[in-house]
Amino acid sequence: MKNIDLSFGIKEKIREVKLENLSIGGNSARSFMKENNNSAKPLLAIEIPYILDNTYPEILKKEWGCDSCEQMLEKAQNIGADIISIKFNLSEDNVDDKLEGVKEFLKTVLSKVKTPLILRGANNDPVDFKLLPLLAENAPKQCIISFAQETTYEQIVPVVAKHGHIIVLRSPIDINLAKELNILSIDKGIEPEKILIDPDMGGLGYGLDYGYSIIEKVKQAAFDGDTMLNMPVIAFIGEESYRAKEAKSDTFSSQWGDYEKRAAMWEIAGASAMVSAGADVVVLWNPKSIKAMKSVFESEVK
Amino acid sequence: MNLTGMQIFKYLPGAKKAEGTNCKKCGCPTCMAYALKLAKKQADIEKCPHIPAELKEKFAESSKVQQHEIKLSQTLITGGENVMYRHDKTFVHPTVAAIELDSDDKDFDKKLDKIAAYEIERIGEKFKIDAIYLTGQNIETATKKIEAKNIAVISQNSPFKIIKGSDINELETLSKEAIFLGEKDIILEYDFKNLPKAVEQLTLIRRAAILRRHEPLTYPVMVRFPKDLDSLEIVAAASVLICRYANIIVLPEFDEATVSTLFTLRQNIYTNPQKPLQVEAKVYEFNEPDKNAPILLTTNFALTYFAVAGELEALPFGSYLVVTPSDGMSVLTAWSADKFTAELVARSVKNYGLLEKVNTRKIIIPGLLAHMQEELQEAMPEWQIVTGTIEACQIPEFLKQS
Repeated sequence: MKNIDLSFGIKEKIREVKLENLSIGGNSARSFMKENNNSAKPLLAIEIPYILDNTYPEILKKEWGCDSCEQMLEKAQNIGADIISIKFNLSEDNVDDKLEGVKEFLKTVLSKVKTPLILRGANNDPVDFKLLPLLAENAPKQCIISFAQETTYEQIVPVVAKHGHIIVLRSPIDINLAKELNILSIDKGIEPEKILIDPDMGGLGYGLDYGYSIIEKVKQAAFDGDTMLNMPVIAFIGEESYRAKEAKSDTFSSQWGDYEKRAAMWEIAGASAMVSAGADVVVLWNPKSIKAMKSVFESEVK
Repeated sequence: MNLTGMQIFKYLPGAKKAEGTNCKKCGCPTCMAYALKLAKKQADIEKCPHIPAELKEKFAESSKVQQHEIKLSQTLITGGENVMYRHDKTFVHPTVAAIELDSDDKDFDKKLDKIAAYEIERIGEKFKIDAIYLTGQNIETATKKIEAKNIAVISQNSPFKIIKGSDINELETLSKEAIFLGEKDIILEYDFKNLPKAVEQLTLIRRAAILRRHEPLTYPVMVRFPKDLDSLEIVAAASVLICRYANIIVLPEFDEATVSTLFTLRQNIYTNPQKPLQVEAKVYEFNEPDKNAPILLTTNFALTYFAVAGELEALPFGSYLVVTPSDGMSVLTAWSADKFTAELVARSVKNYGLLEKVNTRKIIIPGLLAHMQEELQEAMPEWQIVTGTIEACQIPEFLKQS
């Protein structure tokens, strides 16, 4: 095979985003490949809700065996996740009453966490307008703040930039819109080295293929040298996976297999596909996924 | 890449108005006609006396196969891929899902029966286990039993040659030897050690096939997972390899949850990105609706349909869902492409004969199309058009309130 060139379309590196001791992106190789004297290692994040209520899947409550966010946070630090994400799942009804508590939580609880953090809004614009600036101002250390989108970036990006955090920019499964939002956000004062691209996506069986192909296209644009699309990609696949009824309902026929197993597998399959496509960070909900994926993805070093 | 008619035409005398333009010696009326036939491989390149050596070389290169198709059974084909990424065109033959079985296993019949009985359906597609990877001493008898169940068999007795190797160089060498000995149908079995290495080797093999058309590696690749991985680890590894270039995956044991999950991923990855999944446009009934059951309406984009259908199925009462013929586009896409016009909606509802069938006079349209309400109301005066929810998951709440 010596005289056959098997290199394939990598001219430039993915932009490197630094968070504490973590390097996100910075590679000039595709996932799992060793090429161009480089390799790409996907990062695995675990996500927990700030308020553990009945919207959180029963099967995961059972898996975690915890009664509160604090307990989950304790556990999350010991399962080998590279990053911990906290979803501040506030609503328009309770956001005003809860903001003080969030501030206190950042100060007293999160300040003790050594693992790098993602602080995530509610994905509800009126809530996020109040919540995300507060998270950026009161975060105990440099964090990833998630996310700003077309309707919120003008307000959110400057605050996140001012406090030196990294911002996740979400655009709706469209490479051109992703690029546009990057450019607009840089205009609002964030450095390109502090952006993660969230191309949005559907979970396994629910349009995963669209997000998958967008990630592949974003990566190709980056390797071709597009400096406005070469930021690392983050995929919030846990949330999408546990929207699927295959992962949260045991009403399927026995042909679909053991429910507890399937619920875990649904997330693992979706996340593994995202990593294959080139996602630099995948955010998961089930600790079992972290364990299985770490064991398989890092098996070479064993 | 295969040469197009225009790329070929550039080299012919007709393109340069040179001597020999449209000389008809090739049997075609014009150089252009000949070029188009060459592109479709319906003409012989030697028939034109004016073709430059450069084109002949390019043509020979582009005529080489990228990946051979191998028949695993009368109905099951693997290989034949021709792009690196699904978004470049589409992947062709979905990853073959095989289960490993030992022909000497005392529970062989029981295990085979269980595998043969497995079938699930998702978005109009049925999934069954495609093949058995057979080991042990009792292969002949076992093969007959498996084939009787219409499942393909992969074994040392198969009519194709299985070559085993632990990296691209080893597989290339062994494949070259086999080709030299006259083998036509080859499967490259990659000896799985760990996932990162497997992805790397399979990617290099696929590049050698698709991009370089390097004959010894232009055959389907099979990966057999070791027994020491647990089922979640298998799902992680197999998912990556469905995306990254395994034509056949062999699972060490049969487990419903594992295969259901992997089939769903396979369906996602092998969906033609240029042709969205669609369902038949008609009226669907859920939970035996009576004459007063609510009527909802949406497009025939499969994902939209299944999101809505899932909610309607779960309701404690019956309902109708009118699905419009919108070329498999989602609600807003269909609207902006004129595949969801008031006229088309009115016509569909009329053709389905709903007016005669039910007493209900309300039709609930997708929340994303609230702006169409008036227009639809005008086109369908016999109905009351109601704007529904934006998300499918809000439907139960919406119906309970109204």
